[in-house]
Amino acid sequence: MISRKKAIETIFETHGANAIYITNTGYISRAVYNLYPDYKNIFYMEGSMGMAPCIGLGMAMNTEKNIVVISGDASLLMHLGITHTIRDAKLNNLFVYVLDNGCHESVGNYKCSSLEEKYPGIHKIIEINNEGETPRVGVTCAENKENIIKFLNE
Amino acid sequence: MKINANEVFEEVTKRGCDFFVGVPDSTLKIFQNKILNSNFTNVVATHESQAIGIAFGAELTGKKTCVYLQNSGLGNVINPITSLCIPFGVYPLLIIGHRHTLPQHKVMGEIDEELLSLLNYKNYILVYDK
Repeated sequence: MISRKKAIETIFETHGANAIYITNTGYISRAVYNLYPDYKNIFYMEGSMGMAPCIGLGMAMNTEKNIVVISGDASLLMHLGITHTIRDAKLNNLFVYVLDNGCHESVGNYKCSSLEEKYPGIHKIIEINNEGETPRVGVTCAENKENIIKFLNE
Repeated sequence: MKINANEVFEEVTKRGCDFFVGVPDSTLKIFQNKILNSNFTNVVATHESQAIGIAFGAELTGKKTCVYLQNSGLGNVINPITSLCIPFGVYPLLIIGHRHTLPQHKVMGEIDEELLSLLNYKNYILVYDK
């Protein structure tokens, strides 16, 4: 078990500055923003729980850039069907990570169902510790969208 | 806008759509078969909301997307429309099979347009089988 911060840093070190990162609702987006507030290659998906891997798939099908999704365990469970769609798409530029803390942390640490060891379409599940409250993302939706479109076209 | 099933594919491609994703509906058979016979990318999603998420990602890459579903699936897309599409100003074209005769379709068949109007979501086409 490692800290959320360490898990995020490891993922960013692995995929580098040319990848696009799509981060999950709740503390994952917030933690990523607080680590890399100036990066323009991060799409903070703060609403629509469970949608991050779906957005990643739609993006990865239409770009040669590497797309890295950082989801959470409860979010993965909410839209488990997408794992099969991702598997069937057979892409080599989409990497879906799941940070597994066993709960819905940002809304009060409520326990979620536990994950299986493996899922189709999922690159890696990383067990993490809860780290408590993290300040909110400081980028507006409009700025975030503009940054990502620009980065995709570079 | 309301049109018949056999006119949908032509209308959608005329509007420039080049990426298709959805959950199939019997009302949309002709349309879906035309997509399959075309060179366009088509993804069959496991849930209508996931189709919206996939379309959203494709839109950011510059694709013009079309999401197809039956109107009972409209209930499944409310969350990504309100929490993702509208906040980010990304509006995939929705092609919605208008089911309304069977008991399980009656309620949505009566309110689908009102629901979309309440959401202020304008980029859709309701498709009737006759």
